[in-house]
Amino acid sequence: MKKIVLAAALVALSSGAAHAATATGSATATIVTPIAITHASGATLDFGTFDAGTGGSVSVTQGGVGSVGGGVQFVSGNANAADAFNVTGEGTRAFNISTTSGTVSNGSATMAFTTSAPASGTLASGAASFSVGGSLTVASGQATGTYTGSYNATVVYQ
Amino acid sequence: MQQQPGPLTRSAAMSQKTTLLMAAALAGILPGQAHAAPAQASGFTQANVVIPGSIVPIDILRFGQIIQPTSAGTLTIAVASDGTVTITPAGGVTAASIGILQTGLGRGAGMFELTGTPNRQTTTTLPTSITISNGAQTMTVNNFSANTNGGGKLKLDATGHAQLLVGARLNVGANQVPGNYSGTYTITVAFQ
Repeated sequence: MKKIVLAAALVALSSGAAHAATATGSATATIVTPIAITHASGATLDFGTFDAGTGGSVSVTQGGVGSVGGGVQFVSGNANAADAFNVTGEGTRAFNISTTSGTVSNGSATMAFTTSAPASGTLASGAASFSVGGSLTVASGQATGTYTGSYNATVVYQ
Repeated sequence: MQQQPGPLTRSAAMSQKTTLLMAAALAGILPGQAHAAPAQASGFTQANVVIPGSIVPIDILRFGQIIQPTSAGTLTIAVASDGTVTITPAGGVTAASIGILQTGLGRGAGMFELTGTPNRQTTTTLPTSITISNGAQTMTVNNFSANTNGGGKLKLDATGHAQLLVGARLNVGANQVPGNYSGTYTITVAFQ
């Protein structure tokens, strides 16, 4: 009789232990600082001062070096510059850069331009900057004057 | 000085009472099991083949990297009964804000390995709501889901294993402070 009692007690214990188990899992999420872009104060994509001649093009590298093509000639006192942007965001994240083309105008006279920028960049301690060059198309006998215009630069996290 | 014997006597009386109660409890258990013994005699054989069920956490429930939203939103990692995992952003949390490069373990459902007697049915109980924290700020995680059928049922396979997938909904506040948030949740699995 005593043996039966012990066996019954074991049944109660072992089946109880096998019936339920608990486990603890982890849940994680990371909120990332948004990426932001600002135009560097005072910077501009400057195609410089030139004589249109029979027309052609003016190009400025991302390093700010100007060159002409076709019948266009730089004139004395010409100065070229690349544009610049500052980017802020999270840590050491990489981002993609895109820039649009645009048009500069002087009254009703216009010239079209394209832009060139690095395809991507990488933040260092949450900051980065990049430069933008471009290429301007100049018509034969392009009206003289000061032309201005704008374009957009966009950055997105990779 | 005269007050001391009082409490001492009382304490002695209490310990005596405790001893008596314990003895009574033991006596209560033994007769109860003796009564049950004849009925459970066949059950004893069954107990020999039962493998105690175990749960081992394998994968973390990862909501991944999310760009800080300007308005409140959610990111749901939903697990269907067939194990399909669906990731859905809503509100201020957009496809663009979760479309960034994921680092570390990436994004995905939590996973637990269940082990027990082959072909045994299990019933999982999920938490209702937990919070995850970066130490100062918190986010709520709720609407838990798993690859179980009605009532949380999941059957172990012929080798006595099953993978329990767990999803949930992350509630992100407007301008939620950037950082790494983490927390824990507890599941209970009844092995039937």
